[in-house]
Amino acid sequence: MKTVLITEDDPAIMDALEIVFTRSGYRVLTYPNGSALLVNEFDKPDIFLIDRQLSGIDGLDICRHLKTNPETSKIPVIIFSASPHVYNHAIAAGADDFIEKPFSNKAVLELVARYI
Amino acid sequence: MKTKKSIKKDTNTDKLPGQSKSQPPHAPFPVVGIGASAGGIEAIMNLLSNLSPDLGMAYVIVQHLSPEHKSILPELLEKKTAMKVHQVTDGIKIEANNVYVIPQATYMIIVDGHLSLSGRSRADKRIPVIDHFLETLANVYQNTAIAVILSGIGSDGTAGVQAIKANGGITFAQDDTALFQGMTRNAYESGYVDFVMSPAAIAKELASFASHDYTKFGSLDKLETNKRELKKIQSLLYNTSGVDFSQYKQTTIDRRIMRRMALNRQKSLEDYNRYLRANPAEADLLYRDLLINVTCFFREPAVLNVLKKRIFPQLFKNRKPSDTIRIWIPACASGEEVGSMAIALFAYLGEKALGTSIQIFGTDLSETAIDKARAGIYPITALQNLPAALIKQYFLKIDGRYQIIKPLRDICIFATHNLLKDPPFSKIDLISCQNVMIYLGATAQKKILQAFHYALKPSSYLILGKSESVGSETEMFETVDKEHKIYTNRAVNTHLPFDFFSRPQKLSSNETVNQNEKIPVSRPDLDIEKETDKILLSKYVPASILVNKDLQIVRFNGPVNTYLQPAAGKASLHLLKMVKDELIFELRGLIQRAKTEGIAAKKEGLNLNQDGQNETIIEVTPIKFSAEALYFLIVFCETNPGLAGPDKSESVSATTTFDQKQKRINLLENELKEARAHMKSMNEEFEATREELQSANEEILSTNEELQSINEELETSKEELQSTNEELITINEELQLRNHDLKESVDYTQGIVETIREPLIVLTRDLRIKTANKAFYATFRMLKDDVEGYNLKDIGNRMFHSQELKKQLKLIIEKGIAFQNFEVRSRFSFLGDRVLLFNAMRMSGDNDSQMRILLAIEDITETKVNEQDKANLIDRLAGEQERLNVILNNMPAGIIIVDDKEQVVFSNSAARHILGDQEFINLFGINETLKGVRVQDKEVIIMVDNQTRYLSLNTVRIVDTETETKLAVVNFIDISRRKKEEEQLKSAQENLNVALEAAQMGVWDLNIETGRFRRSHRYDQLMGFDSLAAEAKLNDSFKNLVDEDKDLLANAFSELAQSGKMNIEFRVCHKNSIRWISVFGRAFYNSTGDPVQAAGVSFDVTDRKLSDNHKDEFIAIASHELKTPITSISSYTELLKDMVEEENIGSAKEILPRLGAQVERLTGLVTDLLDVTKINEGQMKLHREKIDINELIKKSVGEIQRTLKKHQLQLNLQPCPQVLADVNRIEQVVLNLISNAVKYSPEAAKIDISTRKSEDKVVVSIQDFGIGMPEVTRKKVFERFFRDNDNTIPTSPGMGLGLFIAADIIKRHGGEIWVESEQGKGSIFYFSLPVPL
Repeated sequence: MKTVLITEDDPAIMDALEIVFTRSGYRVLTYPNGSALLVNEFDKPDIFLIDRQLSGIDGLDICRHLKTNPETSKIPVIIFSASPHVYNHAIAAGADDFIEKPFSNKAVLELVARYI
Repeated sequence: MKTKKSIKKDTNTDKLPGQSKSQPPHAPFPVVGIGASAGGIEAIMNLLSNLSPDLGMAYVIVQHLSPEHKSILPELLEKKTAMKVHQVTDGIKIEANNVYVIPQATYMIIVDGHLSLSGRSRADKRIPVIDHFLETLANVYQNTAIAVILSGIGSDGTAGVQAIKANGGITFAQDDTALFQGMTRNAYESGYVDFVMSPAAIAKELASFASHDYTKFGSLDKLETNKRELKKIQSLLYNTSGVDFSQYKQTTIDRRIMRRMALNRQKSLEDYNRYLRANPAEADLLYRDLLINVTCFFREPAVLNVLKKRIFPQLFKNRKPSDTIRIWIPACASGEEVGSMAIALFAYLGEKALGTSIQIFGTDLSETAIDKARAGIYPITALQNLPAALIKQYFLKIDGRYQIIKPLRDICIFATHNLLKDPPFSKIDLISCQNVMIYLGATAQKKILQAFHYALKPSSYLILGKSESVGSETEMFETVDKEHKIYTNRAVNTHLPFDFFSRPQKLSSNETVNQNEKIPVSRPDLDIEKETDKILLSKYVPASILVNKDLQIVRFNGPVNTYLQPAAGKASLHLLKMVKDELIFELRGLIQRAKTEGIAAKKEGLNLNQDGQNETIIEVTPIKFSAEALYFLIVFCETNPGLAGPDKSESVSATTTFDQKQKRINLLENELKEARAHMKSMNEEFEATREELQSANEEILSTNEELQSINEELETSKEELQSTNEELITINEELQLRNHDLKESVDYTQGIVETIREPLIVLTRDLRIKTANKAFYATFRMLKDDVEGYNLKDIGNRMFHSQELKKQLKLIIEKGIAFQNFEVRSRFSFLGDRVLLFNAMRMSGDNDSQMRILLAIEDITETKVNEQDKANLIDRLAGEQERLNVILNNMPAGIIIVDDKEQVVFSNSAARHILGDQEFINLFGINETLKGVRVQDKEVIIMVDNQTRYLSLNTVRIVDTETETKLAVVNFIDISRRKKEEEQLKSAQENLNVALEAAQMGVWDLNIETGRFRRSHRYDQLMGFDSLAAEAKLNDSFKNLVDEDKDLLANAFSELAQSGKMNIEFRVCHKNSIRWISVFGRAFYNSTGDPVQAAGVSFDVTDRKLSDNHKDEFIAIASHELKTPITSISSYTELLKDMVEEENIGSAKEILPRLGAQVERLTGLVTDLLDVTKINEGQMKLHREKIDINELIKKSVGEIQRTLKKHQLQLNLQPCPQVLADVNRIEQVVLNLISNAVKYSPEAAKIDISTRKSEDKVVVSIQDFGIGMPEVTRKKVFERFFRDNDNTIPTSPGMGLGLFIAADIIKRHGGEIWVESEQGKGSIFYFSLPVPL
């Protein structure tokens, strides 16, 4: 069973995503504010889904942190955000892909399936 | 016959001369062309003075004249003859009994009865003028043309007489009375001259022709009736010459016969026939005349084709590269056939031709012919069979004639050579001897063929004429091409049948070709004495043999058979091969003795028969006819020793000792036999050696012949070189003379140039100074080294640098347009401003690079100034008064002039207008002025027609030069209007200042030219200064700008000048804050469109700027915040759909409330946004009514408390009066403040809400015990779009609009809203509402 790690500070979106991925047969790890990821206190997933704008933390900083850490650098990272201008910054930060909010469940599932 | 070249039968009868295409003109009189060189003037006069003036002929004199000098010949001749003498003009008509003289420097031709001239230059002097004329004369006048060649140098005229004679005309040459015999001898030697005589005799002879039908009419009518006589003449010619002239074109033959008739003054053919028979010499002359011919190139194209196709390939087949191809063309005449051969060979070889060694020997008896051949120059008529391409390729056109190109001439070697007498050439590859043999007898033919056979290399080729053949000599030659008469030689030995030792150096003119074959004309009659001698000789003369010096038997006499025994082998008449062997030894000895001693040698007692009966006596007598001709007569005599022997005693004694004797005799005979055998073998060896020697000799002779030919060629070349050299010397002398003249001219010119006072310079084409004269250096104080070679504009501190001057000089250079009196003003460091006059012209220079320009310079400053001053002064004075009046009366200023008696002596119209009919003199300060104190810009107020007028006046004192009275001049202007305007302006300015101050605008203006920058104090303040120095420049005022905007503003100002306006916003650092300042500006232009002034205003736009920024920020936040619930809504909806499809209603039911919450959240956000929009647009309407605030709070708290899990809302409400408020809006405020309190106190458990009355308002407070907020945040918390960006606080949903909306609502109610807060302890929000009065 593949594991998806999601950080998202909006509880509703987090809730919806959790249902979506669980229904599709993934194991879902939820980290509402992402600070745990910066201190490496998490279970290693098969893919990271990180919201750009977290409470007090820039999702891109988390991405950079993951990509410079040898233990996680090989794991795909997908950034999502309500702002379309984030794409280039995401790629520059080492993210493997980006998806803009709002997104359809189908789109986010397909995107994840492409990487794992 | 002089030359063999005439022995040519022209098979191409159409090309026979006399068939001219141009018709003779209708001029039934003969034209005499008289040629002489400049020195022949005496001969010409002599001829003319002996001519009867009414002969009915025209005389055209062509003389070699100096091209430079006008001939006076016509004047001289007029004295000598009664006929009219004309200097020829172009197109003059020829008339009988007139004399025409060629002018200098012209060619003359005769066309259709008119003389036509064409100019010739000095360079053409070598062109034969006489030939040129005579050739046209011959062509047009045919048999009525007569040529007379008189004294002159050179060979001009020879070709002319040939043409005249060939066309049937009659030719004369002066005899040795000629002062210069070059021309006459040349003509005569060519064989084309009929008469050689003195000028007087020529005159006489001409007279006789004048009346002759032949020259008079040139008609053949008379002759045609007498065909029988003509046939007779032809058969006579056949008998004497062996040539059948019936093959010739008859008209030509007839014409020639008539010509001879005329020359011999025979009136009819019968007469001439008789004359011919009586004078064999005339027959010969007629024969020769008939053979005069004009040969040409490529006469037999068919033969040349065969050569190219068959023979040339053979010649080059087995040839080594070093081998020379040798071709011999005997009887080549003037070389046309040689040329044809060379051209054919070159055409065949193509590019290889130049690398191939070729020699073509052309030989002829006639030296003149050979000279022509060597020159290789031919008239166009000779080239008529040649294709144009070949002419172009192998000929050069020289003076209307064509010369064979040098490479061809180089391979052709021409020499005089007698085919019958001189040794032939040797080792020849090809001999072309066409149409020569047919004129020769059988013996001569055989001789020539032998010579050819000798000359040819084995298996080489011989070409003969169409009607010729090798005849019986088939053992020597084999036919290769029967049709074209081409043969090859067989390998048989031949000896040359030539007498090599008697080659005459020069042939006399009487010699004929077939001299050797000449048969005595008159046979000796039978003589009885001779017959008797013959009988006696045959009966009694002893056997004798006559041999020549080569021991060839010439004659046998008597019964010689006893002594002869022809040797086996080749038949020979050689003595030693004919006699019996026993005699050989004796005969050789005897002949040798006779030859050396010169007397008869005798040998007796030879016993030929060995029988002892008869003894033989041999006597050899040398017979010498001449130095060369030596013969030997060998006489044999038989004796019987028994009967007639003188030594009887000896014989008697002999009988006694017979046996002994017989023995000895036998012995001796044997010895003798052996000796004889030995001798014989010796003899044979000797003969063989002799033959070898002879053949070697022959070869040497041939080689010698060849060398002589080459030597002759070289001599000719040498002569040509010499003549060229002489010409060069003459030219050199002339050049030296010119040089001298030139030097004189140069000295002269230099003298002038150096002595004249005007500066003069000579420029080269690129305007560099070639030379300058002394005056130039003196005037402009320059040194030669600083001037020569430098460009005109660069010298002397560029004092001559002037675009105009340069332009003028360029015109001279390019178009040769000289200029005169071209003025240039220039400044000189030592002379000051000067006006210089330039004159220039282009000097000579054959080409551009040698072009020189003479530039003369004249300093006309003084003259110029004086002239101008004078002229100007007069003009000025003339118009001065009038102009002054006009000015004075039309100027707006009033002028009055007052004398010392205070009387107005002058006033202009403006003065009268301004002052009305008063004078106001007392106001003008006249007295001070007259004392010398000037009044300046004094303002005076006057009353005119009840109106106040302001005047501004100036006065000055002047002195009338005539009367010496002092006058005061007062000028004034009416400044009433200006005054008024100034006042208006002042008040406008004040108004403006008020407005500007009200708008807090700074004003400024900038003088773009001077950079002076004026501005109001407000401007300085806006730019962040408390005070700025008045003289500060524009850039100084930028000092407080934020760094990134400094350039922006500077650029905007610099672009202002171009664009005309500016509108820019920038940031300025003020003491406590950064302010946004906006500047509007405009540029002002002068009449020429240059910007001169800029002005504008500036003002603070910070507030607007900030709100703009907030708006942008808000939109971003709003967008982001709206998307968040939309994302979850979209996600939930999708899930719901899936679940419903799966009929998983249980799960769907769980999702639905979550979806509902998100929709509610979204609705709240949208409501907030709508409120803000309403606030912004001023559309928020309040529905005020009297309410109890405590009731309102209770109601709201009751609603919220239900939703709260943790917080307890505690109320502390005091009684409050009713307020006038919108219930919904105030409730919104309360809910907002409570939800904020909950949001920012996540850890607390209660929130205190209280109300109280304070003076005339009701105050509501909501206190939380949460995180509180710092000072900074507290200040902004009610600002629109404020959102706490402190990331340490967990963000709650919402855009931070709540407090802004709340504050706005409260403010609209006339209340206040504020906050107290302490970080970590919590915040208290207050709002108050006024209590209505």
